[in-house]
Amino acid sequence: MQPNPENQMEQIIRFYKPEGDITAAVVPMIRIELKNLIAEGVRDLVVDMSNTRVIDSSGIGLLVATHNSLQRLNGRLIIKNLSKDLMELLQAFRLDKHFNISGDPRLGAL
Amino acid sequence: MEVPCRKTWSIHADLEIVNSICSEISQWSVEQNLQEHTFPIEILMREALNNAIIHGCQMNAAGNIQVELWCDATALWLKVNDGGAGFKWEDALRVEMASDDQENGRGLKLYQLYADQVEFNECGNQVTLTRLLKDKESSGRV
Repeated sequence: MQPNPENQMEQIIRFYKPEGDITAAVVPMIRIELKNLIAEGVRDLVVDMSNTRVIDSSGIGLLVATHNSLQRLNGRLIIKNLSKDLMELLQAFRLDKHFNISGDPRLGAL
Repeated sequence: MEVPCRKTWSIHADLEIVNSICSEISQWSVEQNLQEHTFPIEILMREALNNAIIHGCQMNAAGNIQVELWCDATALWLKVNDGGAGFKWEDALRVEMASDDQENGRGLKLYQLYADQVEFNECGNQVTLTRLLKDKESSGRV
């Protein structure tokens, strides 16, 4: 039987929306959640930053680690709904070129 | 902007406290009509407190951290002292920007990104961060 492409997509793409800022106090908890998603088979992870106003250096480290883990598995970390301040922060570290930021035409509707 | 100010805190090395101090400072900056500096001030305060708690006090909640914020019409200063052993800050500041796939090594760069001046005491257990509130265009920082 041929695999159903739609079901396959459902298995590997997941949206994750942090409840607030991604800072040192909550990074350990978010790290576990993201690791669990990857362990469940998620390969394209869309992180929605609508509720996130601040990311500190430990939060940036978590995003880099998640990106690295997914890339090793031929997956992608996709970040969407970044504020202007957070976009400038990622740009300052050149991470806007490293991560997949939603709005990039290569990402389509994501 | 309103009158010059000074705020001080004496806190235990607990990451949960960082949120309450940063919320207080963000609200204060809005009240002072410093909205354009709110995000940078919060980032600087968070990094300084995180470094003090994680590295200075090594996450020992018994550790005590002294925090000062003061400003006048031209600039804002943040001073954080963790009373710890300090570190070789001259070497750390010379390190190049973390590579794109490196997880750590961006904390001090955030200081340099959002502050106009970064000063440590000799042993490195106290940092003073200065952010100019005027002449942003000439300073070259974010």
